[in-house]
Amino acid sequence: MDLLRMIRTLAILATLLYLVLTGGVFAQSGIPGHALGTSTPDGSLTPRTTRYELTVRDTIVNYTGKARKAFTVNGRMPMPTLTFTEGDTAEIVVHNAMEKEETSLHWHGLILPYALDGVPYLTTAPIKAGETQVYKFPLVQSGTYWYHSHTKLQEQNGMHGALIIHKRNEEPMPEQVLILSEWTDMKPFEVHRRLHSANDWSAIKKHRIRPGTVQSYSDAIKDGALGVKLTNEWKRMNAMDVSDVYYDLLFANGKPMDEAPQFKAGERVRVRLINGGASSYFWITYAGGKMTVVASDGIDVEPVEVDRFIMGIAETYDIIVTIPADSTAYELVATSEDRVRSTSLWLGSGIRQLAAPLQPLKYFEGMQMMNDMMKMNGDLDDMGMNMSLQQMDMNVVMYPEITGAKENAHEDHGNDRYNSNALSDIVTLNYAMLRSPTSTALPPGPVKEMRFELTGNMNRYLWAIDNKTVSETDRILIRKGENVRIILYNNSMMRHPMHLHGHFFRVVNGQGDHAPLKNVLDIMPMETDTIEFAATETGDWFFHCHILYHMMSGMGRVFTYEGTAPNPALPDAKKAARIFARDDKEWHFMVQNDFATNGLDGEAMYMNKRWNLQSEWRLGYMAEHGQEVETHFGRYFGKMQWLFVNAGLDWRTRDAHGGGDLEDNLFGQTNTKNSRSVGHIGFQYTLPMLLVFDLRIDTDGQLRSQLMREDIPLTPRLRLDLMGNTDLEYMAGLRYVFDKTWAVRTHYDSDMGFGVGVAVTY
Amino acid sequence: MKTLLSLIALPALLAFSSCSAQLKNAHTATVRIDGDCPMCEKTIEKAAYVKGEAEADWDVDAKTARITIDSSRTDMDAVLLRIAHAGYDNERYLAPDAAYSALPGCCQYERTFQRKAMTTPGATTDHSAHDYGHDAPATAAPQTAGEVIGPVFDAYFALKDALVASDAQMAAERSTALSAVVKTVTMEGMDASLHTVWMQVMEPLANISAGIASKKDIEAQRKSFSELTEPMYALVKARPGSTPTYLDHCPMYEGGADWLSRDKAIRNPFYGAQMMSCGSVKETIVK
Repeated sequence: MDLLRMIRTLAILATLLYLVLTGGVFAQSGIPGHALGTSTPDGSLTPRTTRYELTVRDTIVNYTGKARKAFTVNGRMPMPTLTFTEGDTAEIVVHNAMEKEETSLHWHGLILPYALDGVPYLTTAPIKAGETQVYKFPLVQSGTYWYHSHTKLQEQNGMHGALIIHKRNEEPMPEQVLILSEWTDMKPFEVHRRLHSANDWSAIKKHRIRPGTVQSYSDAIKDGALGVKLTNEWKRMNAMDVSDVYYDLLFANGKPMDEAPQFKAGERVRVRLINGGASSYFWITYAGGKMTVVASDGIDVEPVEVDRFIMGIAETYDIIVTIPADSTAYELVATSEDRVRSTSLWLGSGIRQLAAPLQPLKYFEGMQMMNDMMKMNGDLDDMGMNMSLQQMDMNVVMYPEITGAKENAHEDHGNDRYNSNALSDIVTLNYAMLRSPTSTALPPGPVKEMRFELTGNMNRYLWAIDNKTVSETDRILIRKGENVRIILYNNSMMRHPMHLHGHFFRVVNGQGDHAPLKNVLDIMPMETDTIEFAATETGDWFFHCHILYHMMSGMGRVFTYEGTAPNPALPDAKKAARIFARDDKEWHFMVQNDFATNGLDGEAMYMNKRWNLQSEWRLGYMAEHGQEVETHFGRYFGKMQWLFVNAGLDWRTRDAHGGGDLEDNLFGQTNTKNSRSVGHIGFQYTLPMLLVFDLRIDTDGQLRSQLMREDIPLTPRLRLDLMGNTDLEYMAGLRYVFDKTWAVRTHYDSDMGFGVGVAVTY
Repeated sequence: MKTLLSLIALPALLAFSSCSAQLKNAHTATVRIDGDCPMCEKTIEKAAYVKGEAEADWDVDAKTARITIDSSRTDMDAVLLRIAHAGYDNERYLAPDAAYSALPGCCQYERTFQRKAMTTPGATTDHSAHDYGHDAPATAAPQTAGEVIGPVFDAYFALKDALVASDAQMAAERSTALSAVVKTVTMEGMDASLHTVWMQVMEPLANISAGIASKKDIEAQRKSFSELTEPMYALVKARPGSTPTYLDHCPMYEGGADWLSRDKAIRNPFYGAQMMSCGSVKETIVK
């Protein structure tokens, strides 16, 4: 009997030992942590050190039939899920095994010493090719977080992963991590470059899946919304972008679709959702009933039941869902805000219960709404609605499930016109519904209050705060012990997920002392939100828009604690600051040329956020058509950047077969086009209808004014160019866009006559 | 006139039936799809159809469709997905509830593919809103730690409850029941791993529970009861249920003793009302 008992005891001990060991193996190899979550043997209370080894490599992946470069960590994309327990010490060894590129890892939402925050050149040294860095810090919090590269655009293709910290003595329950991300076959560098040249190829790609996305004139006529489109252009708006970038695929845990078949009927599952995308907001819906939101950005909130919610980029939400019936898999869907694509996680196993898909956006309703809100000077007018905290969602006018399929969005709902929850039975989460279970009141202390106006424009893809980028401003000094309050006003046409490093802020949302704590705040156009935090740290902390391409365009600020000692990680502070500021000073090159029957017709631009070196040419093959190049360099002014002041050189030559060919211009001045080489100064100004007015005077005293509008979207792919000036030159052209590079073009030019050709855009 | 009509109709029919012949790499399968009426047929076939890729012919009586696809361009799954999004349950997908309710009245077929919900979303509403850390509600799947050994657990928990209530009489009765249940368990249908464990724990379970039944003194019963934990733990580990079983620990009783419970709240069987909530959850065992 005693022998038998001993054998049994040994068997049980062996089982426990096995569990602990496999747990250890999981930690080492970084296998996603849900296996641990279901059965956490609650051992001793002595803190442990959990160590991970991460090796960053660049590799070739193929998701769509095209081989593309991506980044992996330990061979995985997204990066492996790191699982810890609160109170433990994290020790993360990062090897950069790439040949040339440097990298970095930022622990998003974690409270840690700033030198370990992982923003290269701001807080931490970059991890150079071949180098290894060790990050060791105590885990003073619990919840759902993530980690990602903070170097250039690496986060877009692969360098994002989940980081889960379990509570000590957590009540174990079934759980599942779901990290969402996007994939584009286009190089992120290309995506970024094209965004800066107002190229709408992304919209054309989306249009193939969701007709209407381009919002061309033909789309408007089809929708009976020509007036809306005209007003829109009168107010100098290009087609409305719900999101900037076209993605070939959306990923759930790195797959177009993921499965979690281990869950059984009746179980309640905690899903830890992370938006690890670079520029996509996701709507979350579930086929198995309501979702109970229990945490946001890692921090618990009082449970609130919803039908759907939107996840800003970099936000995390913990939800609890039920598996209603057996032998059934329930769809948890993440749909991009533009509703072009979705990705799913199937919870449970068996026949698949679908969730209702989100129907296409009613773009012209949205355009109408923007027309109502946009003032002629580019400011937004909330018409006295005091919008905040996602409660008034103007986008509801575009959502068929809230405002009906067509045409009824103009019913008068008074103050509730944009209140999603008042307009339908569908419960949509907004920030006012988040409530902390504990008091989050700040300790007493002096208050430093700041107002930030978020500004930007789509045409040149300038994104800033108070029309200043990171590199154009000094760091903002704050003092340990004070409370920092930031009042944010979004005066731009896009929503921005604003992220603060190393701190949790209270979102002042009418819940008094129970205001929820977050580290990302999604702020919609025209909203005013107040966030506040206790300054308890030291060092430099980045505050920025988490849309990757907005951050790289300079939308952010740096908070620096007064009296911070020099950062040993960055011994040459000045040089580091210079490199850090380089991101939003980047220059982008674009060129397009029409190889036409009558000559070469094209332009090139080399530009950054404020400056542009621009050259246009018309090079006829025939001597009598002449050759002409105009080059100028100038600066844009204003947050909408409608004014471009410039100076440059004109050069032209023409063999007019005898005769001086003096020509009169509309100002009664006479000049020749046969041979001219002059300098000029002038300005361009974008008028209503997006007409570019160009006035200049050259070194010979010649005055010229010109009106031009290029790329008028007659249909999604057919574009009209128009130009005329006081030198009695004019041009009209039609372009049919095949893809991001190729188009066919026909045009008539007063100098060069009629031509047909192939236009190439880079 | 009739001939004329049929002359016109014939080529049209031929053209229609030759459609499927035009699909390259044609692959055909017969799939069950729920539906009720000719209108359903129209909707199902329209949802399935993509020019040059896929088409379906649904039979209202058999409630099956012959689906033909160009297997180089698409797969059956994509077709069944479209049909489900149009409102029709099939072997692979259940239609979104919204799509089903949007069907015309005559098309609202009986949803035979759908499994009965064990927890209605409504039933969990209040529970989850206020009390999200707790077990699934009572309507959830009955705890069966392996079908055949389920009654053993039921009997064990009943005995434990008797000790929690400090009722020696009831504890004796329930121990007798436990010992009886252990003997009735049939080993047929057990898989190898469960079988091995059962062979090990069967004898101790029967002996210890018979021992408790023979004692009149609650303290003596409790002492024997503590010995049941080890075999019961081995059993639950061998076949965990889909709702959790908790291994609870009382640090005071006999220098530390464990017991199993289905409730997360601590209700101490070693002390009963004397020290009802003494103890902590040591481990949660769940499938």
